Amino acid sequence: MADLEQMIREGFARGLAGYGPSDRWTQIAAALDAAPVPARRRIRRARIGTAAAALAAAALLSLLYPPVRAAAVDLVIKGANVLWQGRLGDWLAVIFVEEPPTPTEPAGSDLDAADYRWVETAAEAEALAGFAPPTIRDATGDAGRFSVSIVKVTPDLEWRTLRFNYYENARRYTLSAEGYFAPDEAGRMVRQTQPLVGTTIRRGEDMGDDVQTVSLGDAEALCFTRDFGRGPMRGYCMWQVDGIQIRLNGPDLDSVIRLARRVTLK
Amino acid sequence: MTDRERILSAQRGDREAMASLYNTYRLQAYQTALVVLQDPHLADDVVQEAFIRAFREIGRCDPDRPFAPWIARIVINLSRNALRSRRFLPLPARDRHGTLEPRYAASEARVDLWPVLQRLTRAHREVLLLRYFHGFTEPEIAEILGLPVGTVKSRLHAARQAVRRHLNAADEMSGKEMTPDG
Repeated sequence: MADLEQMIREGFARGLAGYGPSDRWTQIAAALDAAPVPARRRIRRARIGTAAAALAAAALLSLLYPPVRAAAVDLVIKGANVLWQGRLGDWLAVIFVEEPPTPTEPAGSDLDAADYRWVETAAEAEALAGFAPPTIRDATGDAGRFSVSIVKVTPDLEWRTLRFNYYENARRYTLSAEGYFAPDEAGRMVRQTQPLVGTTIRRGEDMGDDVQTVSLGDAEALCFTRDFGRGPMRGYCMWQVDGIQIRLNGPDLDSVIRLARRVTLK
Repeated sequence: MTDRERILSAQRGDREAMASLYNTYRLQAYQTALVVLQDPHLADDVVQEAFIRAFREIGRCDPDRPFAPWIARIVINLSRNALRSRRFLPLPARDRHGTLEPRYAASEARVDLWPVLQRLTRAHREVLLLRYFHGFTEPEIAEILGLPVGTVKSRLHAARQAVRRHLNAADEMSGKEMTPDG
């Protein structure tokens, strides 16, 4: 072990030998002179950074209101740090990069405070969430328990997520479906359609170069590899059916895409 | 002058203290950016931006903690953003002269791991650099990368395993015998 560590050290030393930074102090000092940042601004940046992890979900919820939808999509795309954007069938799809963090930024976000419930059956999950969980055609594996989370984003807006693990050939896949609910004229919470499918790549997360759109038959999915900030890379696909955003991750991208083609919504 | 003294002076707007911090840590910052980005020119740009951001927010830097992890965290995040932007929104063609590849010289008897390190995933390269080249502790790396300490430990383990796999594969190709663990 010690020798391997020493070899790694020497490897970096050898690879980086001969490379050094340019002296950019003049440019740095000039930039600091040109745009001193007042304290108020610093605080605001921290607040933005804190909420950034929920950007794809929370900031876009305003888009649900039809009168401002088209204009709001444009505004969000222009204002956000967008890594990838394209179309998935009729929907706009975006991968956001988290805002560059400030070093002392606290962890977590307002949306971490979700109402979480665990249930045993799909029927129970549907009763809680207001929509049925996805099912897998020709399933040969086993599904675990369902988690249902309901986040009240505003008094008039709820973000509901169903999630469960599915085990096939001794491999674990996680499938989730998200619906957005707002009150109708009679005050009943009804599911909204979402003009945009989005996800956020978080701080510390590794991501592959393999972003691709994949036809699932009735829908198109955006698929790539990512590690969710936990080390091992996993395959990941997201797509939208009838306003429900579906996300599937598993041990490798090929098997995730194959499984995604077997996912159906009631 | 200690880091603490320089940070406190910088927080009072002392440009000499800022310049001193810059001169002390710019090489480490540059090496970090270079290992992530694999592009010396882009690494220079990222380091410049990182120090601008660091000094604009120096009021939020804790003088009782070392400066190195603080600047490393900014560099890593800016590098990742630059890399992601470059991946999917191709930059204009750059002068590739001086990129890392030509620097490898395999003529010495000692096993050179640099080509192996370059073949690792970015996440593995980052964590090995921070731990074994820059000498950060696991909690410091967790802070820099924004990860739990347990994840840092497992990522370090996986990165070492990946190095071993590459070494073993190279051995099989060349028919040589090598035992990196001694």
